[in-house]
Amino acid sequence: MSTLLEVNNLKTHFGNKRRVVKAIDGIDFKIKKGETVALVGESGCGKSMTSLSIMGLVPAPEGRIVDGEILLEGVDLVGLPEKRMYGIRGKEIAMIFQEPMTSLNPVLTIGDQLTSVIIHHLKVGKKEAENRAVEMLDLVGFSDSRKLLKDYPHRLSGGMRQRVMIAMAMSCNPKLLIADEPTTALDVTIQAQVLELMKKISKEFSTSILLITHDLGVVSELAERVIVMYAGQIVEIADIDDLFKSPFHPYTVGLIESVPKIEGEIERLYSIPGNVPAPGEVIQGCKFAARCSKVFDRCRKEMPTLRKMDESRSVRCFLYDDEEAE
Amino acid sequence: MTTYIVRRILMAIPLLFLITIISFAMMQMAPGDPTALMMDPMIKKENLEAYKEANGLNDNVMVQYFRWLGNMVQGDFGYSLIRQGVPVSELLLARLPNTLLLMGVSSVIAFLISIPLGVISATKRNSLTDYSITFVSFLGIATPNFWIGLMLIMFTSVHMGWFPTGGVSTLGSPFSLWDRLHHLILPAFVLATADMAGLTRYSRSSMLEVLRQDYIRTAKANGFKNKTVIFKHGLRNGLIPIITILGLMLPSFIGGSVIVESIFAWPGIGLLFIDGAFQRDYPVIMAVVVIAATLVVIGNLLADVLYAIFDPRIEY
Repeated sequence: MSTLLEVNNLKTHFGNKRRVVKAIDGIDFKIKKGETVALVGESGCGKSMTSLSIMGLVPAPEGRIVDGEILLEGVDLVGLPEKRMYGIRGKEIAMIFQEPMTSLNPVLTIGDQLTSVIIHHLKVGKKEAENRAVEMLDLVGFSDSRKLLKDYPHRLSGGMRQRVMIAMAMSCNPKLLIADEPTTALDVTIQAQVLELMKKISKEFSTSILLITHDLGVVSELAERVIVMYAGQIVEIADIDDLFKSPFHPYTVGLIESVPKIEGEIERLYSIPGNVPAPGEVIQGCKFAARCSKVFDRCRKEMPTLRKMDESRSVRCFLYDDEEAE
Repeated sequence: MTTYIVRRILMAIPLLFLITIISFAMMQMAPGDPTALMMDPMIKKENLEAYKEANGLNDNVMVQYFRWLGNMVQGDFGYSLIRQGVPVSELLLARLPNTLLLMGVSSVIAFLISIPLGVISATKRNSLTDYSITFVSFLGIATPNFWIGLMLIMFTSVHMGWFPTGGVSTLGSPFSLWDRLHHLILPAFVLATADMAGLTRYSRSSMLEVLRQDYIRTAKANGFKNKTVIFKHGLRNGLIPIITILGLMLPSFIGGSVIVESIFAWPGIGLLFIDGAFQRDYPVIMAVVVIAATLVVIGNLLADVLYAIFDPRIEY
């Protein structure tokens, strides 16, 4: 499979000259065509900022991409004129968000919002756009799609709105779908529905999906590959099965441990001790050192690099560095 | 929709009723006597009493109120005490169109200037443009509009001779639209300044609020141009709270028109009110108060209806 998206040494910073917050501190990853990649990590680790960086929607002027490149089929999106980004957002890369309740415009009808995107990107007439919108709404499981076009978002439930968002995102056949916590705000039964739908869509359209979540359950459901982020850096990249079977990085181990298990009685839910470093905090050495159970001297002095273990696996940890060295 | 409007109109009726009671009571409690200015001070006491008796001024207050209300509902506002024999309704009919024209044009001016300024201010937040607009707005809030009116008359009318200093049209000339407009511009602008500054600030904060919303991010993520995002997706939402301001603006417009009409000798109900107040022309004062209150009620009604039209989330 060929590479669709390649992110190289991406750095997105916030703040001014006096105080810089490195929201994304040099990340590299690739997404292949048709592949579903999950980006996981705790709140504030830079997941969402990664998606906004790819979309070119980092809130200016506080935030900006200071370095790196984002190649979509070889075209660097960083520094691309806004005019060209208009043609990429929604067409090549589409996005769905965490908050289905507020992500649709309350004063425009569903039909208006869907067709305007289709007309904008596919340059078709109103009638044709409407047909396409109905087709998409049918696809995401609505039964009376044509009637739905005239409805306003407030009449729909959260799950229905998220399905509308998916229909809207998929309406122009994007190559990459970025789903930023698509199920976090939904209740569990609806979550399953939406995940099922996304699975079906990625297969049918062979769309690549970048799934951003902190929910490892969602990850195991949907993703083929997982990127674990911590404090603006990637700490581990692995295929889904490898990751759950034998996580390498202590942080990944902790994340998996933290998922409550259904078997047996537990006294206390596990959580990784300590907190995510505050934004802008300067840390010497490994950023996870303060919370790591396997920490040793070198971790506090030097920053480990993201080391390629094999074809599909990388990890940023001295534990594995030493093994190699010896 | 229709039932909603009908319901709102029905709800306005008790309010208007209350307003008539208050305006009548205020006039009853006001110092002075309607006969004081009308009569020869040397009049004999018996004659004065006879006049009062004949005109119902000695009747029970309740009787007087209901007589007044009953006549008013039939369009009879009584007669002006000062301009002997002229029905108040005639005065109102002659003046009201002038005031409505002035207020209408003023609100259009206020909206056309303030909303774009507010939007620009919000989209270029914390820029020099934003700060300049904010500065001028605060200056506008702090400056009484009679002063602005006087200054404008002094500079643009007296010194530069661009505009006439007052009136609705050039005396003695035949009707011409240009002449009417020429007379209208200054007073309408001055009346508009009363609310422009506040409206600008209001649209700014409303737009700022809207531009933070998730659906704006969605619109951007769909690849719409900035302009489309701001005007189609943003402004439609930002205007909703501003509609409420439209209803709230009307009272200040009516208050402002009293001042502006006196400055520009604009023969509207504001000027009628001022004259009436100085001359203790009770029927005129009460009629104007009731009309002004009715306008405010209608304005609020209009705002509510517009609100329901603009915001699909409101169910009638």
